Amino acid sequence: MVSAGNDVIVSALSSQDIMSISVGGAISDTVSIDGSVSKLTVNTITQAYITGAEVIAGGSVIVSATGASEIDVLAGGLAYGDAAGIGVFRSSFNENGTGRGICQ
Amino acid sequence: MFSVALLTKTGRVEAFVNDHSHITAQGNVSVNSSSSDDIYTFAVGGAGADTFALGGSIADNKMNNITLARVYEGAAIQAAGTATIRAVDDSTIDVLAAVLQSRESPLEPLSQQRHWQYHTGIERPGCNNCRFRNNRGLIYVAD
Repeated sequence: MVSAGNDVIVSALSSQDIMSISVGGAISDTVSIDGSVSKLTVNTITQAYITGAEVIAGGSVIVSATGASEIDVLAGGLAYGDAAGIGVFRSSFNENGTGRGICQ
Repeated sequence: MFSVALLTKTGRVEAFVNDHSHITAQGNVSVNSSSSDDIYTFAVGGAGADTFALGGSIADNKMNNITLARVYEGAAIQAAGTATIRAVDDSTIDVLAAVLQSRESPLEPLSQQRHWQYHTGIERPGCNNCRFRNNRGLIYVAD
């Protein structure tokens, strides 16, 4: 049981700001082959909840969940060849996040 | 130059009042859920060569968001003010996939050819007195 003379607030907030940059380059005298791969996986769970509880508030009751993310991904590069050259560049990123606000 | 950018975003934002919950408020009761994603993806590839140039770029973005605000069956809510249940999803994806390619003529004058000689990690320009034969490719004859 939750009893408050004023407000009862159950809040969960998750925020991600992710920047991924993968850059490759190759220069050679004959054939130049270059590759750049950027792989980004983001998995987030944000929860705010009241379960099985008795809440008495003299003011307001707020249950709020907010998820915000900004993701910037850049994959680029340049290959130049007069003869032979091989370049490979790979970037991999994984994120799993959970944010919870609970009143139980 | 091949450039590939792969992005998978999965998000679940949830605000809820479960069953067997009793809420009594003299003011307002609000159950709010909001998610916001701003995704910018740039995949740029470039290739340059004297004879054959091939470049490509791929940008693949997947976003699967679940935004929920709910009051489960069996929950009891008494509000003297306003009861609000709100779910908002505000997401944007900006994608740029571009390629730059440059190919010079295979029949350029010999003086236009370039050549570098690498030796023990030091770059040394060579071919000060060399000759080239240009036949759809660079053939080194003599140094």
